[in-house]
Parts: sequence; C-alpha cells; structure tokens
Amino acid sequence: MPLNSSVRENGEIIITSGDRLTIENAAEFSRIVREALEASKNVAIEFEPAVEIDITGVQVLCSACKSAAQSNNQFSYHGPQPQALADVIAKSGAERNAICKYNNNSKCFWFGGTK
Amino acid sequence: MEEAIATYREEAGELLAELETSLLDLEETPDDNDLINRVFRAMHTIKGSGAMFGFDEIASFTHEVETVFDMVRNGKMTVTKRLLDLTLKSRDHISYLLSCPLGEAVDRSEGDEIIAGLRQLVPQLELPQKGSSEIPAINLPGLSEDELANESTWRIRFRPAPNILMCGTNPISLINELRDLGTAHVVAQFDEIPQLNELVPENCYIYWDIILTTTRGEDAIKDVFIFVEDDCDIKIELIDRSGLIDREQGYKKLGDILVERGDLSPVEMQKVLMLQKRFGELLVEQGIVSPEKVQSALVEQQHVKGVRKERSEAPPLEAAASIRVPAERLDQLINLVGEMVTVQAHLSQVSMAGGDATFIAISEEVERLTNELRDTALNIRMLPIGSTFSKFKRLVRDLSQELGKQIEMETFGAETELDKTVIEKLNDPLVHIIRNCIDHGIEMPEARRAAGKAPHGTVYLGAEHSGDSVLVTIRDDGGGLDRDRIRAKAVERGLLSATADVPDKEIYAQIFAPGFSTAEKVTSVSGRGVGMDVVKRGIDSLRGSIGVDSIRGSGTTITLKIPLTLAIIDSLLVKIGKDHFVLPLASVEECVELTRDDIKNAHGRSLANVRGAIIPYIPLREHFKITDQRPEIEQIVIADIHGTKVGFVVDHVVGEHQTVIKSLGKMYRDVKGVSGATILGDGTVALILDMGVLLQAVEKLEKDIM
Repeated sequence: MPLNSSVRENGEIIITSGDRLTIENAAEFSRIVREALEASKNVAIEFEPAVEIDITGVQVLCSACKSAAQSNNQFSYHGPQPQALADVIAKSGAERNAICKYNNNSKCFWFGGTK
Repeated sequence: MEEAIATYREEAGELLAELETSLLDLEETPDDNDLINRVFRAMHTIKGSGAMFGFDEIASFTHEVETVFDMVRNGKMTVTKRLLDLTLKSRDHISYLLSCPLGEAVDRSEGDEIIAGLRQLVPQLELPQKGSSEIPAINLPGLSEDELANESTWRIRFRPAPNILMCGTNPISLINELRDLGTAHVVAQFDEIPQLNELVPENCYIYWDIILTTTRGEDAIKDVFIFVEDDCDIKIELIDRSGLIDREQGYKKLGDILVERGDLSPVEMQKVLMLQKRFGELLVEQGIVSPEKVQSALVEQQHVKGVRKERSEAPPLEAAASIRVPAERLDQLINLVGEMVTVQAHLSQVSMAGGDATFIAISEEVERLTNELRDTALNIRMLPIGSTFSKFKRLVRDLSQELGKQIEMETFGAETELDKTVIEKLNDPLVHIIRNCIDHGIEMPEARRAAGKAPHGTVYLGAEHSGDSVLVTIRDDGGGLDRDRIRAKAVERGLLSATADVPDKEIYAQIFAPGFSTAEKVTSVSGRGVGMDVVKRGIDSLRGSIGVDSIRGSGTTITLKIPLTLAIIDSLLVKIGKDHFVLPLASVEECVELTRDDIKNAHGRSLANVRGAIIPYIPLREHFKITDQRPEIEQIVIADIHGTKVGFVVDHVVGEHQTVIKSLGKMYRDVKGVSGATILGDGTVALILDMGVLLQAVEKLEKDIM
C-alpha cells in the first residue's frame, strides 16, 4: 500500500505508511498528516511491517503528536509498531518514558510509553 | 620525554604494520567497514600521538590522509585501487618520517606527491598547504599523556544544522561513531520540533545530549564531527575522568547538572529546592525545565554514577593484562637464564659427584625451576610469525604490479609462534624466495592462459609447528623448476657429475649454490644468482634446513625447517677423547654400541647393522682428527637428517644437556659442521655439531675420492 489516507465510517482517518517514511517523502507524509488532523479529530497510522523510517519520519510523528495535542485531537497508530521505528528510536536515543508537556503531560506512547 | 618518544616510535611502527595489513585486506574487500575504520583509527592515533610528541611533520601529513579516509568512512568516497596505492605510499612516507631524527629537516617531496594524488581523488577537498606548519591542534583540556590513557566522561550537546539531512549527513551515523569510542548514553531532544503547520519536514529539529565515557580523548570526539563542525553547534565538556581520586562514588545532584548545562538558572534551582519535593518532578511541574531535559540530566547522573561504581569495583591498574618491555631487556633476560642453565649444569655435576642425598635433592629442585624459568623466558620472546606476513603481501602486490603479473598471496598459520630473533633473521631469506616465486615462478597472464591455468597466480606462505621446529612453506602455482636445465647448469659449473644418478631433490638443491642462475635475463627483481645463495646462508645461520620440491608446469614448494629458538636447545652431550661435543636432540633417534668386532666385520666400510637395517656412520674421531686412545666400545648416535638415517660415532654418550648456544668467533665462522659452541658446567667449551653439514661434507669427500 502506498503512503495514503482514507476515511472510515466513524470519521477516523487512517494513514497507511507505504514502504518508506524517509526524507524522500517527508514533505508528502507531513502534508497528509496535517490535512488529516485538520479534517478529523481522530487520526491513526497503519504501518507497513517493513516500512523504512528515518529521522524525518520521527520528526513528523512527533510534530503531529504535538499538533494533535494542541487541538485536543487523537493521533495514534493501529497494529504493532514496526521494527524500523523501534530501531530508529533506539539508535537516535529517542526513547521517552517520561511525560511529555507537548502531549498534555501524557506519557509518549510513540517513543517508549505505553499506548 | 626521550623514553616517551621511543615508545611513540615503537607504537607507531606497530600501527603502520597494522595499517599495511588492513590496506592489503581492504584491497580484497573494499566495502569492509571494519577495515575502513581500522585504517582511519590507525591514522588518527599516529597523527594524534605524533603531534603530542613533537612529530609535527607526521601529524600534518597523516592528518591529510586521515581526512580522506574519513570521507571514505562516511560514505562520501569509495575505496579504489588508486586510493589504496596512495595510502600504502603514505604508510611508507610516514615510516620514513618516523625514522628521521626529531626536529631535523625532512624530504617532503614524496609526501607532497602523495597529497597531490589525494587532491586529484578528492578535488573538492580543501587540504591545508604543505609547509605552512599547520599542525592539527590537539586540544586537550590540560590532561597529561598518562591521564589521556585513562577513561574520561564527556558531556556532548550536538545541535545539527537545520539542513544537515539535506546535505546527506545522517546524524545517527555520527552518534554511532561516538558510541564506537566508548560507552555512550544518548538522549534526543524533541522540544524544538514545531507543530505541523510550521514544520519543514526535511530540516533537522532534533538535537542530542550524549554522555560518553571513553579513553580516546577530546580529539577523537571532535574528529567525529570534523565535517559538520562548521555548521553545527557542538559543545563538548569533560565531566568526569579516572586517574583522579574520586571525591565520592556518586555524582552531582540533578540541579547541579542542569545548571551546568545552562538548562536551569541557579536562582530557579534554589526556588524549587525550597519546596522539598523530588527536584526533577518539581521542575517539570512548575514548567521550569522540560521533562526531556530532566530525563537527559538523569541519564548523565546515572551514567557517571555507573562508571564510577564500575571503576571502584575494578581491579587495580597494576593488574593490567600486558606491559611493554624493550626487546633488549628480554635479550638480557635470556642471556641471564642461559648463564643460569650453565651454572645449574655445574651444580648438578657437583652434587652427583658428592653423593649427598640432600644436596642432590636441592640440585634437582633447582634444575626443575631452571627449566621452568628457561621455558617461560623463551616463551616471552615468542611472536606470531603473522606479524611479518603483511610485509610479504605488500611485496607480492608491488612486485607483481611492476612485472605486469597478476599474483595474489594466501597465507596460513599466521598465529604460529617463533622466537623474535628467528623471525627477524627469517625476513631476508623469505624476501628472496618470494621475489623468485614472483619473477621466475609465476608466469605472465598470457602464458598461464595458454597453459590452461587461471591468469592470476598465487603464492602461498604458511607456517606450522613440527616438533621443536617450525616449517615455513612457500609455494607457488607457477611453471615449476626446469630440472634438466638446472642439472645441465650444475654439470657445466662442476657441481654435479654428468653421469651420476642424482635424485630430483638434490638437483633442485643446486639453485642454492652461490652464483647459480638459469635465468636468461637479469631483471630488477632477480636473475643474478645471488638471492638463493643468501637464502641458504640465512637459513644455515638459523640452524635450519631447506627442502625444494617442484612439478614442471604446476609449481614449486620450498620448505624451510627452522628451530623455534636460537637461544637454548635440548641436546645430547657426547665425548670423543677429552673433548665434549653437542648434538641437537631433535634429530637424534637412538644410540647403539659399536664394538671393534663390528668395525672389523664391516670390512673397512662405515656401515653398522642395527636390528637388520644397514646404517652408514661417520666416525667423528677421524673427522676431527682426534688421536687419543680409542675405547674398546664406541657409541653410534643415530640421527634422522632430512629423512636419511645416519650414525655419528663418538666415544661416550654423556647424556641429555640443556645447551645455551654461543656463537663462534670470526676465526671459526667457516668451519664446516660446527654451528656454535656452549659452555659446560665445569667451564669447558663444547662444540655444537651441525649434523646435516657434516653429512654433506663426508658425502662430498667420498664423491671426490671416487
């Protein structure tokens, strides 16, 4: 499945990751997420198991999480976290077990906290 | 300081050897990141330490080569043959610079050429101008060289330039390089990532706090950022180091760390402390410091506490795994052990003669300890022969290029250990043999193709243990020796009889005769008939032997049998008349009696019947023209010499003996059949017999008579 978004009956927007969330398509990923958060209160990512993710992908996820928290929207993911995300989190030292003030003082379920 | 300079020279020499090996291996596997990193690290250490000890030329030259390899390491350049050629030349140039007296003018022409070559490979690279006395600054925060060797903990804040990702640099690679330097805790900071409507997705907003414990010093950390330092904000602070007495096993309080980092002001700290709650929680609750920053500071606190705890529990430094000792001291130790072995032999003799049981027991205990001491001391001087293999790989590489041949070298048994002195003396013979393999053995690619072989030839160099010797084998898959031509040449030079039935091995052995060459043309490499003579003399001086085997069209194998050590050997002490002689025990198989009747029954031939086998023998009494009264019953010491059983007749076999080898003076250097001497317990001298040479001499004598 390519990087794309679709709307469910309950209004939730599902963004499919495609096979990469890297600098090559970071702008497109950012745009899709931004538009989704503008259009829906509930946005979730469905990762391809073998998706490739780099720092730009991590930044878009964090930025989207901050944006969603600001507007009291939900931004999460469905299914298991892909290995690539776990890897880039570990390698970049991005694990977060503390609360995040940008996420309304909730624990960061993207980078270490439980969902 | 002089001692430190000598140590640097020694260590740099070792690093250059390692560098050469890595470069040659890299030629085979150019994508091997481990090898690329090894080359970079070797260059980096040579440079860094060079600058520290005043080797400015080395530091500035190596810096430039290192810079290029850093680009390779970061994937900005690929390993090419040209790059390897230049880097190998750089290695040679550094070796030359290392040999120059410190502070004296050096010849820079070679170095300039190399740098010019590197510039062509990396035209965009801005290398500093040679001669501008720009020495890379070794910016060490007041640490002495001893302290440098110790572990330090650094706090690094790495704030990349926003466009770093667009420039193709992955900050995670840089962080991984820091991880390679030691133990690191990395915390990515996300507070500068904006909301989506302000996000430029290709920009880098994350910055990193890294706590790194390493023995490598600040320079190594700075080198990680060498290509991004101009655009990025990098702050490196020393926060802890060993070598100092830790004031406490713990570490600074969280507030102190945050204040030091500039993430919290002292006033804010005091204000929060007044509230008497957990400091981090309070800071976050009050919105003074972000949770990420508190987490990062906690990581630092835990990291340093852990390092200090580990340090306090670690065994003391005295328990270091290895120490560096000058080779001369080891030689001195071996000499002393040799003296001790001699004195111990005397002690044994005296104790046995006295017959006092207590004295004999003490003497035996001393003998046991002396033997252990001897073995231990000799083992200290043992080095793996592989340390010389890389030199030969380089030789093969360079010579085959020069001659337009395609040759690779395969080695085995690099871990085989030999006495340091033996390895040093083995170098020249091996160089000559390998040069011959390349020049005369391996054919040109066209000739090989025509012969149905692969165009590239192979030279095999290997070592393996065989009893108290090491077999060094040099094999090529070239054209092999021309038996008929060697024979014809040997006959022409009067070395062989035209009609004699001579085994192949003996014919092949003629290549070691002085001035012997069948080469039609003399090349820059070989063909003058000098080299193999040198090989023979070199191996003889090591008390070794050479075997040659060859199959026409398939290749040649030369086997060198070298004793493990040149210092002390197990031997058999024998006596003829009043004189003692020593026979190396490794070749001795058994001793049998020789009576007057046996001699009579042999009808004037020097042959003995040993359990049905006829063994020829050499009466040493006659050979050395000893005229004392011959005993009624003599002894034949039967030895195996290159697969031939030969007896050496002596008056008495005294017994096994630890022989400390002493070289003979110049006057006796050309005496055939004697390879050295030893001092016995009572102070008398015994000659060490070279049984192989004795056999050859007798054979030659018999041929001459016939």
